[in-house]
Amino acid sequence: MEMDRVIQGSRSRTGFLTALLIGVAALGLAAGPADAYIGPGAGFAFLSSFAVIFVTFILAVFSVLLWPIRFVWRLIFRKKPPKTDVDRVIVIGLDGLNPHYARRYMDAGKMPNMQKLSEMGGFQKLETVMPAMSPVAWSSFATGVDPSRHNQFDFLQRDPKTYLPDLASVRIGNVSKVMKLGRYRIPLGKQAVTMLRKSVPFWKILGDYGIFSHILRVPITFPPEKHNGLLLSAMCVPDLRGSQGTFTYYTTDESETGEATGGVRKLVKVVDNVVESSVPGPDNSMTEEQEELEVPFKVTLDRAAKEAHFEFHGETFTLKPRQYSHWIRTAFKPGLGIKVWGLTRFYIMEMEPHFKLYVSPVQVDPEKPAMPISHPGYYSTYLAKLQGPFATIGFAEDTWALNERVIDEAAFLEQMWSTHEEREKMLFNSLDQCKKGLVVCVFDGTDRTQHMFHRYLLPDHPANRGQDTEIHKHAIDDLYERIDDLIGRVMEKVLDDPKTVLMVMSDHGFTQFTRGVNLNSWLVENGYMAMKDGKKTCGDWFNGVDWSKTKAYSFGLAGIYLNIEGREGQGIVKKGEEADALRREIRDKLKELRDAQANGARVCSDVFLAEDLYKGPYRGNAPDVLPGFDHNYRQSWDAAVGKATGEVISDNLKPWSGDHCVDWRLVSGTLVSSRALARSNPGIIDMAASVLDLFGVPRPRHMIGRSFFRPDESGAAADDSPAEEKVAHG
Amino acid sequence: MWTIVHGVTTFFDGLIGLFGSMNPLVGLSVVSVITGGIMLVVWKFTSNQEAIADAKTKIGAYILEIRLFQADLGLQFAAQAKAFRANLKYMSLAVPPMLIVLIPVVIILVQLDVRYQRRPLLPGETTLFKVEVAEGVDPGDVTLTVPDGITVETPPMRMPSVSEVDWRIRADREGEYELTVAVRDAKFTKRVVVGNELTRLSEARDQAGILGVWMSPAEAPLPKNSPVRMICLAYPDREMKLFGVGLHWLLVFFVVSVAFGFAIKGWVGVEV
Repeated sequence: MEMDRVIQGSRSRTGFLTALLIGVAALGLAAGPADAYIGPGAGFAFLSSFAVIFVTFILAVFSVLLWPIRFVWRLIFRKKPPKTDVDRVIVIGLDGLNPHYARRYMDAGKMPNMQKLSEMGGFQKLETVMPAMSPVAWSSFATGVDPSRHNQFDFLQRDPKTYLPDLASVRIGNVSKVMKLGRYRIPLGKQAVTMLRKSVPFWKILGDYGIFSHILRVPITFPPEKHNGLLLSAMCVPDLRGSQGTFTYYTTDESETGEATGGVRKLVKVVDNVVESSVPGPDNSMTEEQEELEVPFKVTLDRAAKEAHFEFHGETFTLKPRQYSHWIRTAFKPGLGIKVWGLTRFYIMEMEPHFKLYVSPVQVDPEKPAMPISHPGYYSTYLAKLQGPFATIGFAEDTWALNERVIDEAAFLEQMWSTHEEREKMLFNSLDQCKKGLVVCVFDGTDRTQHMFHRYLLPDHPANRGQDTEIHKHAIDDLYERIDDLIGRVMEKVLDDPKTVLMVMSDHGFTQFTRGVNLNSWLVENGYMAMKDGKKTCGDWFNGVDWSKTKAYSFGLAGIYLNIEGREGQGIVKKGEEADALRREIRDKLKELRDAQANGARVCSDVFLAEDLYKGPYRGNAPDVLPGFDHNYRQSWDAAVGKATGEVISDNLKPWSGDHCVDWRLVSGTLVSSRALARSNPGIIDMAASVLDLFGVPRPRHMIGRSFFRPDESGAAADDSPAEEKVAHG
Repeated sequence: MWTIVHGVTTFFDGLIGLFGSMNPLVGLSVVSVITGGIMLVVWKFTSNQEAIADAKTKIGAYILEIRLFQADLGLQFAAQAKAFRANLKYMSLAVPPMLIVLIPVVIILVQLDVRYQRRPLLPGETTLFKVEVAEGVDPGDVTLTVPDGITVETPPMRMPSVSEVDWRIRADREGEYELTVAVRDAKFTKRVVVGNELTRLSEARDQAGILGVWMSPAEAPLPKNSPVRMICLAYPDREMKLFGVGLHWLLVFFVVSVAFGFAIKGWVGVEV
């Protein structure tokens, strides 16, 4: 027998090659791993393929086996809404879409799809909230309550003890316990990331009724909250440095160095056509020194070919001036083999005579997120694998970079549309997957573009001085037309289903921002704020303010806070009568504020006290006095960072030339629906109740908004809140 | 052709000979590591790296999609179908580089096979020695001469119906011997190894063709049209153990080369 084996073996050797070739062809079908092994590459390929087949098979079996259990579970434990004629609701959020502009473009035939949609159901202004800001308005959108119930009044909130700012929507804490190992501090727990927006988003309520939601980039959804569905966070997801977006600008031009808002400028040198520097990352929280982590890069300039060759994190790529790189993945290494993954893009503004390079804020890599940016956590990984890397930071369009003029309008627009396209892919993927349930997707480009290009609509805008007023004068026209194209594609995809309701809406409108009002300077001028040195100016974040003589202060974009004893760290105004009188006094004086350089124009169309606007449990966190700025006016850039400049009203010279932080009644948002709107005065606060109503889900008792699909306010409502609470959103 | 094969065999003799005095697993592991590294680099330059990366990423996405939509059987099955499709694409992308590395890997596998699959005879062990003659040759004309150190235990058993002659031989002492088979005036030798060392072993010497010499590199082929078709000798299987557990050499090669390739694929920058 043994000899027979030898003979057989010898004879079959000559056929070995043929057999292997056949084996390769049959790879994965019949051969075992060892038989199919042709080097490690093929070994991996085979093993991976086998693993995929195995995993998907196991998942399929489990799915089938578990389905009846899930079905019974849902039957027993899930709340059951009454049957309605709606299976699917799609909400396209277009941040800042101005109803006046939309109407004008529709009338001019430039938004035919919007026109068609409005003819199906209706077109209305959508009343926003006060303060008329995205974080505030989108929080009301999600929860159906006013700011004093969801606790969002501004992008920033102050720490009353220190007068220093904090993000209003999220608190990113430190790890409570660490273990010291040499120079390292090993975290023994997770970093606490706490959502400060209160109340309950309506998709969570839908989830309790078994309705699945796809929530894409709705502002103030960071950190992501659990619900029955998928969610990708948006505003205020930070960059890897923990900021709301810090670009880096490298230049050989010494005149361009110095401080930059929202970014870092670095002076570099070209030596033998080579520039070497590094991309700054987060501080190293794993060491005592907490040094800034960085990843070096090298740029070799080929002046003849007018291109630059980059070496960055093991990747090489070539860029011509005014060309964005794709997203480049990089890893910052805090030590002990740990990597913090990020994404960034490079853009050469100029190669000659000076080398000028813009590097976008380093974003959390969605494929390997350093912090949770989606629910479930692997949803961002899924999206990144499916459609490639994408911007994750809350403010994906780098308005600061344009505001600081490190990039120009063309570069900004290219970046904005690139982000928009990423978002469109996510939306259409969700539309493919959601046949029953809710899809909400918010596009920010509408807001950012209008902020940065509003000056083109007003020839004598101060920001136009010395700047281009021609090249991009159609940027906003193009924006609305392209948005209309998006609406058309969504309509085509979903509206053949009679059980689908499509709504297109925005959180606020827009107006010109030509003059900045420094409320701190106004407070100094009127004796409410004092400086230690007796001057009329102070630095950022009240540097130089004499709190023992200061009765009121302002920062952020929402209003004025009183320096109240016991509430503020160095408060001097007594609660009660004194504070009430002071509020009224400031309100009345502010109402009278006039702009002498604008023929005595009124600065505020109205001024509100928090107590008049809000009744909810978090009203104490609101500014005490909220100026309702008139068209053209807004809190100045300096006052927003707690600075007094001595000048109360000054020209806004920044590219950020349009705004909406004014009297909320002047900047309503937009609502267009495929289903008939039954009320004439819908508000963003009504969106949540309206979506619940479409699905037949009762409105919870805490919700203030009412369905605008019902002329009366009965219907699906479970409970009616007191009528006076309606004042909270105007 | 034999000259080339012999050159390759000599190279492997030298390489593996460096570890001749050690546990056979050492030499096998070194060859596996070198092969893993080289084949990985070859894979890098012969495959569509971008498409492979894309296919793998998509597979990952669809598997995550299955998890995301656990409550929706329809979406789950759709995701599974997409994962299978992407998997097929991935496997198809592996075929061209696999065909390219096929030839060198087969050569390496054969070289390892002739060293690690069998072991030499030990003194005192017996085995069958068989000669297969060409058609028309009388098995009665075949004689066997053995050197000192090998003993022929049995008279020849001639089987004219299958043109074979068999002997049972015994290994007496360690060494490398040449047994001579004579058919009329023609003489042919067969190498027989007795001992415990790691060396290439040929179980069969035949009239191999161009491909055949690559598959039987341990010994030169018999001349074409010679009266002897094949000379065979059965060696025992080699047993390799790691911590008392028996291992097949192919499994060691597979695991070590794949593990090494996996370890360095990031450093080499290869998508597999």
